[in-house]
Amino acid sequence: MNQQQQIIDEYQQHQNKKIWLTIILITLIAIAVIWSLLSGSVEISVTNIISVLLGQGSNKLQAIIWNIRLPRILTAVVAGSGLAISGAVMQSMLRNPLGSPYTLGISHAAAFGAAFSIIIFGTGSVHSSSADAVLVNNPYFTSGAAFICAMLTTLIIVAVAKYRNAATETMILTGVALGSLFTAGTTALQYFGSDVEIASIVFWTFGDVGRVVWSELGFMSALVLGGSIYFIYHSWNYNALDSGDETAKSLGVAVDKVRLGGMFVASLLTSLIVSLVGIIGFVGLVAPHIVRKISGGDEKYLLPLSALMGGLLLLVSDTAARTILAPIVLPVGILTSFLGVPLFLYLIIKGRKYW
Amino acid sequence: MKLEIDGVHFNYQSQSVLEDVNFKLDHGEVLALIGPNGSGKSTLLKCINRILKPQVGSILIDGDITTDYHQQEMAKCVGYVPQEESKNFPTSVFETVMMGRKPYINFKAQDEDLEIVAAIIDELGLEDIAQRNINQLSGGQQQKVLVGRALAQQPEVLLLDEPTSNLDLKHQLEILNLIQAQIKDNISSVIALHDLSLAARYSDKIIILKDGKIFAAGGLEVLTPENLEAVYEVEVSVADVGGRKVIIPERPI
Repeated sequence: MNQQQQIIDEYQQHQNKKIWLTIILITLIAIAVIWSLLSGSVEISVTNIISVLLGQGSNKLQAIIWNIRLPRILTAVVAGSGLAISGAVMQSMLRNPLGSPYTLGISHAAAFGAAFSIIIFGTGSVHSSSADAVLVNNPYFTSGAAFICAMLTTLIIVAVAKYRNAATETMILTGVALGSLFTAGTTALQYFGSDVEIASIVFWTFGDVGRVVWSELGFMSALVLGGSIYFIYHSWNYNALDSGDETAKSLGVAVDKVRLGGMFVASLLTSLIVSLVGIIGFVGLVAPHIVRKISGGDEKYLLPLSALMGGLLLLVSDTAARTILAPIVLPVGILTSFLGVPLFLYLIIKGRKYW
Repeated sequence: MKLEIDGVHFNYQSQSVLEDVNFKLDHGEVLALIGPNGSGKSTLLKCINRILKPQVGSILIDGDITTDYHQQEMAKCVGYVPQEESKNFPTSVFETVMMGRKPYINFKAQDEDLEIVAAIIDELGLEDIAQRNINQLSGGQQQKVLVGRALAQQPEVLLLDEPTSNLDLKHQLEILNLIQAQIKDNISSVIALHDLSLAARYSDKIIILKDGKIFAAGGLEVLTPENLEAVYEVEVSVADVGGRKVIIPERPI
């Protein structure tokens, strides 16, 4: 009996470590938020920031904090969380460490939708909080078109997968094929586009959390929160699925239903995020892998921790993108790719034991 | 009668894999399924477990037809140890055995679940490696973990698909001793086995499958050179060593 109690105690110690990791990540996000609020071309002191947050301070400071910095910061956290938790779920559902919106062609589809809207419907360009290099005609229409194409891809993948009994290879191969198709489509559109239109497309694909307004942020937050609750509720099922379909079935999991549901919600989240902020690479892929390396593969913790890690990564990246070449503001998508690739290679070389 | 297989047919596309399989298994009995590769052993286990759905025939547990069971109820009733399993994102030994409690857990594991898992880990002798990742373990230890997960389901019927195929001699005996010890607790078990001597040593009943049909069924007496030669197309001798049946393959026919 003592022996058994010891086994339970050890297990609970390991669980406690994961709870500590949660607390540490939340603290780091809080610190990053403060750092990010303080960073920018206009220097604002901590006391001024507090007074602005309490509804005081000059109109100029109010505008900088409430209209520029805060929505940008929250967008980074929410979009990063959404991309990371969706990436973690896609990796589990596909039983593949490369599962991400890229593998499934969702990002490419969104880029095609935006390009289509910019060139065919002449919606011009996207709003840029930083460079103002391109005109703002109709960002909503552009995002809407990107979302529709991304969801269309999702529906095709899910439909093909359903036809083939939700086989993971089917989903990945369908995604790769659709990704190539949309890339070709985007290239074809660019061939016919004017210089300004091509610049708009390129700028849209850069991925930039500075273009989201409060109403969009609210909608995105609600969806990311709802999706995360859905995923965490299913974490036992996802754990079982990772042991293979047969084992999962013998543990009482409705395999096809759980897999299609998980893929649909994960794709919905990434579609929405990509359509609002553009393509932000590697957060969805890297964040879950970092968490797995630190705290193991148990989905009950992996999913919420991935969300926190993704939010933290994107916020830190975005703040760095705003400061390293200040006053030039880099689109965060470029930075995450630059940081993500070496980090990912490091994980593959050093840490492959865990998958 | 614990487990009853009644006229099961299973076709994969147009090819018949199982044909009119019938048998009964009583409380606490161990049945060894033997037969060459492709004779339908794994398919039969999967049909019993509802991973595959037979086109004809039914499977009954305690007289109740299993297609009426809710998926969750079925998982509480039947434990399954697959032939092999690869995890992409490995979990610890404790977490893996805990998966066997899934049919009982809504969202949060209760103290009772933790106690059951700890008792199984203790019994399997895995206490020193309970927090290690399963991909860091040897083949024998991994197999024990998978058996542990099936035991955590507290099943009435335990299905094992060649549980000893990748193991060294010591681990083969350990795994089968362990299963035998559990069977006393009123679990009935069906084990697909390649090693005929182990089948003879650990089972109460034997079914020899050939091309998806039952070629012979009964007690140890079905392990005759004639039966085995007809099924495996190998000349065999059956020896008696210290009261145990030992099957020695001689040469292909």
